[in-house]
Amino acid sequence: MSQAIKLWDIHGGIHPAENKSQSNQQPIRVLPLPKKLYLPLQQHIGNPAELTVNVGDRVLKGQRLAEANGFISASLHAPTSGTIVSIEPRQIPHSSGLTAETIIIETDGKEEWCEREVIKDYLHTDPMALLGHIRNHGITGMGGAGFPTSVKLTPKDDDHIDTLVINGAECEPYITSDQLLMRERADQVIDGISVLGQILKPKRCIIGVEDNKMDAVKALRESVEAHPKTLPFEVKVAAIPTKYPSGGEKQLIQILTGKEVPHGSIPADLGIVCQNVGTVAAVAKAVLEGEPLISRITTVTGDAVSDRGNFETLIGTPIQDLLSHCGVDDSKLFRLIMGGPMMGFTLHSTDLPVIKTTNCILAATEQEFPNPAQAQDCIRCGMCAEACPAELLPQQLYWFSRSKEFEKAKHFNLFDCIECGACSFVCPSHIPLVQHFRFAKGGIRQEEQAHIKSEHAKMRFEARQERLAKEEAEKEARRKARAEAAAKAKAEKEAKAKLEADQVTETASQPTGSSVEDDKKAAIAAAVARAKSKKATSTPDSGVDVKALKVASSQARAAHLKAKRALDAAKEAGELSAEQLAEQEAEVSKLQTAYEASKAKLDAAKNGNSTPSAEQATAPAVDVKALKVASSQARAAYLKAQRAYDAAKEEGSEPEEAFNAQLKEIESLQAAFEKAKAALDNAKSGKGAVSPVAPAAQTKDATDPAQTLENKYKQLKVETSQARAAAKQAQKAVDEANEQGKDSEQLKALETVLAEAVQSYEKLNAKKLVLQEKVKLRKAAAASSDANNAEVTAAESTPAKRETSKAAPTETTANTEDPAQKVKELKVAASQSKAAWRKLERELTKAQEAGEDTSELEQQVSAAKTTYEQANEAKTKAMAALDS
Amino acid sequence: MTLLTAILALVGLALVFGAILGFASIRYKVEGNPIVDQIDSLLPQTQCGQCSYPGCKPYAEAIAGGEKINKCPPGGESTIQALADLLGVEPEPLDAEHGEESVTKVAVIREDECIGCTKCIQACPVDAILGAAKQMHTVISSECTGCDLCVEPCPVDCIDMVPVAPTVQTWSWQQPATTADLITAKNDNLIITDKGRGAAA
Repeated sequence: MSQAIKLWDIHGGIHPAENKSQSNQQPIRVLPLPKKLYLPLQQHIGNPAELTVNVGDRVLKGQRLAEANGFISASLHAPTSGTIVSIEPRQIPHSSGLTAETIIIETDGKEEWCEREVIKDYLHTDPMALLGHIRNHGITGMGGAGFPTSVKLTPKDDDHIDTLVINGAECEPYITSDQLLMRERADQVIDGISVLGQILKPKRCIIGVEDNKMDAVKALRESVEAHPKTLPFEVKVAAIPTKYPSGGEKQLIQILTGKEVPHGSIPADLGIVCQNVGTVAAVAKAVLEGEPLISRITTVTGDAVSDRGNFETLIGTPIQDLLSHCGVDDSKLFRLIMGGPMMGFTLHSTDLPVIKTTNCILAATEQEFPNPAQAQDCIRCGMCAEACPAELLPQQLYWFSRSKEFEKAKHFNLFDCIECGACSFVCPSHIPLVQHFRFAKGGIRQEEQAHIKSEHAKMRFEARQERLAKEEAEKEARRKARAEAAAKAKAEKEAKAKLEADQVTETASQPTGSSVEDDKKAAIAAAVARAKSKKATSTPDSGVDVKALKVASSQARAAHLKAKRALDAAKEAGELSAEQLAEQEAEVSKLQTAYEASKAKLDAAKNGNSTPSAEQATAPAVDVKALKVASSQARAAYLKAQRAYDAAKEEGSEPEEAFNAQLKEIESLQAAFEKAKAALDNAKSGKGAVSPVAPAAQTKDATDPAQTLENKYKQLKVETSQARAAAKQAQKAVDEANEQGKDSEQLKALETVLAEAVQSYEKLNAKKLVLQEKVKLRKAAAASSDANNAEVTAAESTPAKRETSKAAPTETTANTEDPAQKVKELKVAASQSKAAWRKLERELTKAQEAGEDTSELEQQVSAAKTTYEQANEAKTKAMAALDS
Repeated sequence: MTLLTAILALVGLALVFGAILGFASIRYKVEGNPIVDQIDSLLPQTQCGQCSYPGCKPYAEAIAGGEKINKCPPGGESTIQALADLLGVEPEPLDAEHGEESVTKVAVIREDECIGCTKCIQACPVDAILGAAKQMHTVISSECTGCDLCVEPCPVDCIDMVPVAPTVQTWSWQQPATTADLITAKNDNLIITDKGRGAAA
C-alpha cells in the first residue's frame, strides 16, 4: 500500500528529543509472575468498579473481580489465579497520590484460567453483543486517559461513523510500547480494527503512525494486505510527520482528515471515532481469545534502569517488581514517572501497581530530569501561543489562572487545552503553564460542583421553608379551632352557672326549675351583657353617655310597651271612657316617640357620632327630642354627681383623691350637659322652630294635654338649667369681684344680677318640679296599669290576650306567648316600678333637704309605692299561676 | 411647509415610539428585583447564617440594599469576587468577624452517642438529617452543606464537623508554587517539560 494519503498540518507543536531508541531495541518480554498483585477498583475514568468477590476467595485467571458501576465505568478481572488476601485502601498511581480501594491477590503460579467466552465469528455477530462483550471484558483506553472503550464505541443515534481513526502515533518521547505492539502484533491490531468495523460500520479506517516508526508502519501495511476478507472497508496506514503532540486525539483527527473537532464537541459528532492501537489489540484479544484486559505492554526506560525495554505486564504488578527486573539503580533514581515526560506524572513510591493506563515507567536520573528552574515573570514573548496545538493563548490563560479569574479563563477556552505541555516546553521563563491550567480547570470544576450543590441546597431549603410554613398554618388553624371550642364551652358553662344562680334565687317563688327557654335566655343575656360591657370599654370617651342613653332608651321602651299593653287591656275590657281612652292613646304614642328618639340618640352615640349638632342636621325632628332627653339626662347625672360631691364635702371624710376624682367627674358631666344643651339650643335655633318635632307629634302636641305637659316640662327644665347656669355665673362673678376687691358699685350691680338670676332659677325650678311630679305620676300610673294588664294576661293566658300583646308594634322576641316569659316581664315591670318609687323617694329627701314644699312629692312617692306593690303582687300572682 | 412636515414627522415618530415603549414597559414588566436572584445564585446556599442574616436569600436582599459583600465565610474569596463582578464594586477581603473561610466540612453524628432528641433535625436548614424521636439520627452527607447549625443544639455533643476528604473524582491540582524553594522533586506532582529535559540521552 503505497498510495499517498492526504495529510493536514496542525498548529504549533514541538520537537522534543525522542529518546525512544533506548527501549525499542528488544522485543516484548514477559515479566515473571509477581507474588502479589494490587488491583485498584478505579483504573479508568468514571465510577469505581463494584466488587463481586470477597476476601479469601480463590479467583481464576480472567475471573471478574468487580463489575462496571454505571454507564461510564469498567469491569476488573483477575490477571492470574490466586487468592484474594485483602481488599483495602491503598495509594494508587494517580497524580493526586490519593488512596483508593484495592484488591490484593496472592498469586498461586498455576495460571488457571476461568471459562473463556470467545466470539470467533464476530463478523456475523450483533454489534450490541460485541459491545457488551467488550464492556464485560473491562477494556479501557490504553493511550493514557483510560476512558471505557465500550462507551466510546456507542455513538449517539444521530451520529453516523464514517471514519475510524486508529492512533498509533505515540508522539511522546521515551515511550515505545505501541511501537512494539504494532511491530510484533500487527495482526492483533488489524483483527481489532475488524471487530470495531463490525460494530461501527465505518466507510474507511486510517491508522496514523508517526514516521519515526516505519517498522510499525510496514508491519501494519503487511497485515492489512494479509486480511482482505475481514476488512470490508478501506484501511490505510498513514505515516505522519513526527511532531509532538500529533498523538492527541483531536490533533490526529485533524492531521488525518483535516477536520477540526469544534469546542464542546466530541469526534463522534463529526462521524469519527478514534482508538488507540493498544485498545484495538485488547479488543481483538477479548473477542477472539476471550481474554479480558488483564495485561498490557509497558515500557520501562530511563537512565536509572540498566535493562530498558517493553514488558508484557499483568495489571496490578508492583512497579518495584518491574524496576527490579530491569535492574534499577536506586542511588541513581531521582524521579519516577508514570507515562511520558510531557504528560505523565511523578510517582512518590515504587509500591504502586501497574494499571490499565500505564504505558511507560520512566525511572530518570537527576541529569535526565533535574528540578525545574525557578519560574520567571512572563515576558509575553508569545512562544507558547505559537506552540499551542489547540490555538489558544496560554499567556492570557496563565494570567487568569494565576489570579483565579476563572470566568475569564473559561472565555478564553481553557477547556480546549489538552494539557500537552508544549507551552511549558517552549516557555523561556520556565513557567509551569500546564500546571496553572490544570489548577484553573480543577478550580472551575469545583466551582461548578459547588454551584450544583448550592442549587440543590437552595431547593431543599426552600422546600423545607414551604413545608414549615404549611405546618405552621395548620397548627394555627388547629389552635384557633381549639380556642373557639374552648370559648364556646366557657360561654356555655358561664350561662349554665348563671342560670343555676338564678334558679337558686328564684327557687323560693319558682320551684319549677329551668326550662330550655330560660337557659337560652340566660345565655343571650350573658352574651348581651358582655357585648355591652365590651362596647362601653371600647369607647371610653362616650362610654358614660352611651350608657346613660342606653338606660334611657330601654326605660323609654319599657314605658312605651307598658302603656301600649295597658291601653290594649283597657280597650279590651272596655273599662275606660272614650275620653280616657284617647288620653291613653296619646300617652302611648308619646312614649313611642320618646323611645324612638332615645334609640336614635343611642345609635348615634354608639356610632361615635355623638355630636348633637351633626345629628340634628340629619334628622331634626327626632334629634331635638333626643337631644332634649340627652340634655336632661346629662343634667340629672350632673346633679347627682354634684350632690354626691356636696355630701362628701360636708362630711369631709372622703380622701383627697376620691374627692378630686369626683370633682373631675362633676366637671366632665357638666361639660357634657352644657354640650347637650348647646346642641339643643343650636338645633332649635338652627331649624327656626322652637319645637320642630315630627308632624305627627306636633299634631298630638296640639290635641293632647299630656304631651303638652311633657313638652312644657322639658322646656321648663331647659330654662331652669339655663337660669341656674346664669345664676352660677353671676355668683362666680360676684365671688371674683369680692376677691379682687372691686369697687362697691360694680359689686352691687353684680349682686343684683345674681339675685335676679337666682330668683328666676328658683321660679323656674319650682315650676319644673311641679311638672316633673305630674309627669312621673302619669308614668307610674301607666306602669301600674301595665302591671295589672300583665297580671290578667298571665292568669288567664288566653290566646286572645296573647294576640293583643302581640299587637304591640315594637314588641320583641322577649315578649312571647309563654307564661314564663310573662312572669319575667312582670318581674321587670315590678322592678321598674320599684325603681321609680325609689327615685321619687330620693327626690323627696332632696326636696326636704332643700326645704321646699314636699307634700306633693310625698303623695307621688306613696302613689309610686302603691304601683310597685301592685306590680309585685301581680308578679307573685303570675308566678303562682305559672306554677299551678 | 417643509418645516411643518418635519415637525409633524418628528412628532409622529415620537408618539409611535412612545407608545411602543409604554406598551413594552407594561407588557415586559419585571416582577421583583432580579438582582436579588442573581446575587442569591452566587451565594453558597449553606443557609448557615454566619453573615448574621437568616439565610442566603435575606443576605442577597441585604446586599441588593447596600450591605457589604464580604460577610460570607463559606463562599470565601471566590464568592466575594463573583459578587464584586456582578455588582461592579471593588472586592474586599473577607470580614473576619463573621468567620473564616475553611475547607468544606460535613456533619457526622457519632451514632452510638445519639439519644434521638431530634433537635439537630429541626436545626438543619436543608433536611439533611434523618431520624425520629428516640431513634438514632444520621446525616445524609451528600445533602449536608456543612453549615454547623446542628452542632450547637445537640445536647450530647455527638455531632462532629469533618472536613470532606477529596476523592479521586473530586481531587484537583493545587496552584503551582511560585517560590523556588517549594519546587522540589518530592513535594510537587509536576513533571516539568521545559526545554533541555530529556536531552541527556
